[in-house]
Amino acid sequence: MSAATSTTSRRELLKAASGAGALLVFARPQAGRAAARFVGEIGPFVRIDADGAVTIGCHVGEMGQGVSTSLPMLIAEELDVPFERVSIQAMPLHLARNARGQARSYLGAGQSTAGGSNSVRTGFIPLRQAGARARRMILDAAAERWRVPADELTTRAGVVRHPSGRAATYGELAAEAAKRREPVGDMVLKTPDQFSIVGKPQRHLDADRIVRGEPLFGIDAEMPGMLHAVVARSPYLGGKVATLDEGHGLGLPGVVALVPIPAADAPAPPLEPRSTPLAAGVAVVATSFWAAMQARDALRITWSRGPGAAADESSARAYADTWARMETTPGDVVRKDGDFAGLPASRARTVSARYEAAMVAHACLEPPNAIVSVDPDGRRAQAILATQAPDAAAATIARVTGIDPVQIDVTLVRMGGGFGRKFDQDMVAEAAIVAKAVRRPVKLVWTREDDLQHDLYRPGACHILDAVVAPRGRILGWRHRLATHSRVAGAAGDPAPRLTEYYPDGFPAGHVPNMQVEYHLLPSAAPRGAWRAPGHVVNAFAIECFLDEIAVATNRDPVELRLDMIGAGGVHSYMYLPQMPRRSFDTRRYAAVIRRAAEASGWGKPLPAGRGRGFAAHFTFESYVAQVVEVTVAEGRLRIDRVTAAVDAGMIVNPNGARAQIEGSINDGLSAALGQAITVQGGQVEQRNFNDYEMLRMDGAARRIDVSFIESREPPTGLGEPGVPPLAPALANAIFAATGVRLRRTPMLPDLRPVLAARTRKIPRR
Amino acid sequence: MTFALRINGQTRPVDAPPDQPLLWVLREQLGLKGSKYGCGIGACGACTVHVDGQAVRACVTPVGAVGQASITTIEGLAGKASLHPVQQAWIEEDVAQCGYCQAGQIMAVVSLLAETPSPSDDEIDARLTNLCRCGTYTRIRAAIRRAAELMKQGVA
Repeated sequence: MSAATSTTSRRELLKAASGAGALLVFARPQAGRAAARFVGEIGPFVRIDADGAVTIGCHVGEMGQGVSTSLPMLIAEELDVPFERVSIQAMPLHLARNARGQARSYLGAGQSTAGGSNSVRTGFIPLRQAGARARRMILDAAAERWRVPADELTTRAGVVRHPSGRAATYGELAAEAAKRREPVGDMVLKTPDQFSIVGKPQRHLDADRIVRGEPLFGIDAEMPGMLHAVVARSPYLGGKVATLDEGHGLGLPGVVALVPIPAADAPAPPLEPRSTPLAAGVAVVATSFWAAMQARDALRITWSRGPGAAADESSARAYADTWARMETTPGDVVRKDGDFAGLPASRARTVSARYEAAMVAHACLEPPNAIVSVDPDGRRAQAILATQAPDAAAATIARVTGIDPVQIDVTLVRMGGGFGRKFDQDMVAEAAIVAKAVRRPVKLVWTREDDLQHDLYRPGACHILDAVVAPRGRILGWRHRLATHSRVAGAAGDPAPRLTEYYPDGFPAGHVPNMQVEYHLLPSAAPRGAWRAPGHVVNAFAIECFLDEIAVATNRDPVELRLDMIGAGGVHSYMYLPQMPRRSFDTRRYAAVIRRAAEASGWGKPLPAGRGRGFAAHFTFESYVAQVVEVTVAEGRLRIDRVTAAVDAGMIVNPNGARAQIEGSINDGLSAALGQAITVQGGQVEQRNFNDYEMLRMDGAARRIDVSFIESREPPTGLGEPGVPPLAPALANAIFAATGVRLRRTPMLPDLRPVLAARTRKIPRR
Repeated sequence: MTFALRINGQTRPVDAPPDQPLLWVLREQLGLKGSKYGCGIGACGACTVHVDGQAVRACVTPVGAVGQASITTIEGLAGKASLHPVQQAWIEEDVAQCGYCQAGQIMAVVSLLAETPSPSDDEIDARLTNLCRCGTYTRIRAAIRRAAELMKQGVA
């Protein structure tokens, strides 16, 4: 892909893909042109053709979370155009230097990194401002044409009107508007009651192209003259190439080169996208993926085992040692309210339980891939990437190649799933290393085996919970001891491993007088990373199952127990990470979703034998979610009859997309809770492909899902992740209600299978 | 070896070793990228195509085994004027999230409905084994119902 540097129309489109149904991307403007005016002509995000067709740019990568619909809705709302007239295009990364000299993209438009359920949250005001500025440019063009003050003009559905009766469509004014300077300062925005697009359900705008099988994804993209690469990576965690015998690999048809991939020589910084390869190895470069694969199979490599060679993390022993340590050694205190240890034992009763979770992999259906090209003179680079973090991708290419980041073009294409995996840039680092070596465009693709064996895994965990409960059921004391394969343990700067592993202001903090939380590290040789709702999924499993156990032990209803704990409720200050601004956790809103889920699910209504309901709730990414799972255990199987979710995520921008996120979170949560486990034995990850990594299929999915959103005028909060954490505990609690068997480990299937085998009664047909 | 593959109503010559999986012939030689790579072992169904109307997993189907059979990929499913009813139902129910597995899901469902026009929930569970990490299964089930309705009404 060459950059268009002519001074002709910025509308000129580049064909980035030579395959059928090319990916259309906007041309890069002349080098050195000012930062704004990139995609659009009327401000950076908007382009309007003379016939009134509106194109809006999306600066955040689409991975199924729906941002390519929801973010343009925000712009279209303030621009005041009918959404059905809008088409959306992915914007290329536009890097410019900020006041501190750092190369950053889309200054002031909200973050371009898709993560932390942040895109709508951070874009809600800036993107509406961008739409309002574009509208203002159109108004000013009309005012000048008609020689009237702009404040006498009104707009509706893409038409500007003056009280004198004059009217013009946006299309008629677009060319003049495009010549104007973008206004500075804050525009007056619509109030929620004036919204005509935000809050109205919209279908996914790419649906038609997806069902036709158009080549929308990273793995489908091409550059002219592109080569293909696969990497033989050390199967041993932390291992290196000891000897390489090319065998007959280099002689196979289509094979062009072998390029060494060095391991990172220093720990990666914590919490930032990984910018180095995950494993040492050898890249095979060929004229097709298939040729590269044949050559990779023909290489004979011996590996030196790294520091992880002895890692044996799957045995009961590895966990047993940790359980013992947690009971005998004080942990790092994460939270301490009152005095748990000093509680008198008299008359109160103690409830205790242990929960365990395995590591899991991301297993995005589209495996990691990256296309990178380095110009022959080594001064510019281009990339086509399916990535969650385009700024970090450009920084990674810059680091590998030495090229100035503002000389790197990044075209964003659709991701076949992300879930946190495509936040990290290890695959981009590999592609950049190869492209730098061969000075040709290179598409580097991972196989499924590469993906499951070399992920940044969601940490596994051990939790021990103890509660001291007064005779009338009030929880007086709460002790939570946990150990996890921390996401940040071993990172550069030696951060406290507990940093990312427990959120000290989450429920029940503030609602139990004596509370103590202690953290221990569970060591791992495997890389760890962010997996959809990091930390929250496993913590909510332990906490919300334990609340259910307390309710059963004290003969109380689990919903009533939670509502009694919250009482009148109030606003708590909530810390995500020390360096991030504190947020508000309003337990009145938490109580409201608990009540709504209970009502909507028919909580408390009797069910026949073999069926049961389970409850759980969680607060994260500023959103409140409660779920009721209803199951049947019979005929030797578990059937998820219905899941009811109540969600308070503030104002909902796209109700259809929001519902899809919660529905998907529920099935994704089922998948991780039931079958998925990554284990390490002899320094190697044991799972290789979908035959030994068990993911949910149609037969295990929820038969029915009902999602209810709380009406709200609060600003929008996260939706991509908050639906996952309540699912696993609500499921375990439902299975207990149906069978009397308490499952305290994820994945649940190994413990569940004997339970199912013992329950063969026929399900009555309804 | 040279093969004359019958794909989407056309005959396309390709040169490939007979054991090369059909998927990579489609994607790399014929530019038909709607069929997706997901696992390479026939376990996820992202590569599902039809061979003489039967759903098969192209990643484990050697190109040499196809012979004169008629291959349909997702690109060949829609008619000139309109989408296949299954594609139409997918849009109406707004099934896709990331979309990566959906071409394979649609091909599997077209084949299912051809044999079983009104599948029960248990039949859907047994016959539709494609993976979706986004968890769109509940909408897929709704879209199968909708597609079955559209097909009964003779929408094509």
